[in-house]
Amino acid sequence: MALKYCGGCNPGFDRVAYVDKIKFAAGPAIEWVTLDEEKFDAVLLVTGCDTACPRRSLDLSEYKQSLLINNDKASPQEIVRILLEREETNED
Amino acid sequence: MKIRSKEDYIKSLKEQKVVIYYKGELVEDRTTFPAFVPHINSAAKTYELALLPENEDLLTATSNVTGKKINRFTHIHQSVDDLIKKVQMLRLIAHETASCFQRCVGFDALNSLYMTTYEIDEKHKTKYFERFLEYLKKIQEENFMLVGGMTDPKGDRSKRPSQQADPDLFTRVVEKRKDGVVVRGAKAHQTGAVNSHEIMIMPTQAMAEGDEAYAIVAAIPLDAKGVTLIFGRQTNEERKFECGIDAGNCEFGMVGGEALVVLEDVFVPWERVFMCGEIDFTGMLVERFATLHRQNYGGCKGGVSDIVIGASALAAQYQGTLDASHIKDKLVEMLHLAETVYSGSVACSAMGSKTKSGAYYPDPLLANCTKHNITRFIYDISRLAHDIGGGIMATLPFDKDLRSPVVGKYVKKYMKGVEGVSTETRMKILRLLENMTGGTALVESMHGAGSPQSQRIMYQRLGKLGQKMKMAKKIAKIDE
Repeated sequence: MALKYCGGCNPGFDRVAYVDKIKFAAGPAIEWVTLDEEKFDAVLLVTGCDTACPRRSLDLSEYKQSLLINNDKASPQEIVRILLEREETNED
Repeated sequence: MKIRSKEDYIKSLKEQKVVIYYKGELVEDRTTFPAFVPHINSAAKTYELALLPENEDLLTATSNVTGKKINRFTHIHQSVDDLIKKVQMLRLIAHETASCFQRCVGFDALNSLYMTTYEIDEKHKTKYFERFLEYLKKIQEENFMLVGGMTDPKGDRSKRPSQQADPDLFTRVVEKRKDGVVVRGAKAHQTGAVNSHEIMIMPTQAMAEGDEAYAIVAAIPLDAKGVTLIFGRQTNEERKFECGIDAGNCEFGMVGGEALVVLEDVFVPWERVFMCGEIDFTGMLVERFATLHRQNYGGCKGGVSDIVIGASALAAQYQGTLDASHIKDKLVEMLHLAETVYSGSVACSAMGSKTKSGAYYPDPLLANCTKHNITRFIYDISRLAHDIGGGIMATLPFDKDLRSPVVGKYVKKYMKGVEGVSTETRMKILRLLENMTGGTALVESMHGAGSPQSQRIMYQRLGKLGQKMKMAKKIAKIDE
């Protein structure tokens, strides 16, 4: 899973703390990399607000699977479930 | 980039021996001197945050000169998106420091010179742009912090530079040699000077015939022979030496840590000179630098205001007034003012345009409007913070009283607000508000990047008043 953050000019939630919780909930089930690395199955884009600035230059449709998070309303476990489900779908 | 981390940055400052005076004394080591450490910590954030994946989109960019990944503070804006990211970056860093982090001035000097040297060469067939590109590559490679040295002391404001009784009151070339120039004068109120690597001196105003010696742009290392820095006194600055509650924001600066930079016959080799006598481009350079700098203020001051608003709400919460309707209304007003100044910075960036050099430039009228709002709205935000915080902000006992074995119990008892919040916590937030909303911090909002009148002059020039009169005539059906 490639993790990509927005710049964080005025985020509505603590993106890093939320991602840490997601990573903890995922445990070894997900291996985290960055977009600069070559091999990944999906992209998790974490943005501090609805504007989601990276989408100006990052076309998520270019990736097989992607998920955009712009708030911390869903439980980290729920996010992990969605990510793993998508990965399974991708494998099919 | 050679300087990447905070540690690299401090090491680089330590290695460069700069002559700095504080309170009449020569400073031995600028990196450990207590008055400078908070300013170093603030500027260091521009390096530290660039290394974090959650901030790199704003703090880094790809150089149009080398194609390498660089710190955004050394980048030349290549698009409207770059202009907007600059403003977003400033708001982000202000959230971390709650004070000026100083590095935008040099950033704006680089951008204004990139576009202006290109046009000087186009007209005068000079080689300034080529020289400047080589210098820019070095700054990007080293990731140096640069002072934007525009403001001259100016002496008698009613007289031109060449008419002053003391000709050094505007920085000038006193000698031209085969290998370079010799510069004399001073640059006043130089933000971040004591913890920078170099200063880029630029003319302070449009120059006229007879003022050719004053039309000088040059990059000078701060350890060059003849350079002396005299640090400016700030409100309550020595409270920071105590590293306690009374400083309000002990770790970071109050404003930019301004200094008077004296240039006593400083030699500058030609490869570091980017304008010398071209008076016809001084006005353009000043206007561009001012516009790029005024663009910033809704970003950084918007971010600083976010902290003031948060602190005001906490102060109200700690004294049990947060739910009072008039307090809520005042907080809403503060939010409105902060987002208004931020809107101005985003707007002038969104309306930016491409210059002949290829670099992008914010809309000058909107950038001036942004800074003009700062000269009012930061005072309004601070006034509301004082209103919400109460007189206690100005009359609190010392931190040492709180910790006194004799009177500490009285401070704890009588300075307490609501149950569940300690007196120390309440004092911390009130001192933070005091630090951010008075004295030097406010004056910086008024005069930093130019005094209000300099923005109003731009309104007269760019405000299209004649066109507005024509439109009014058309609607009123006036033919004459």
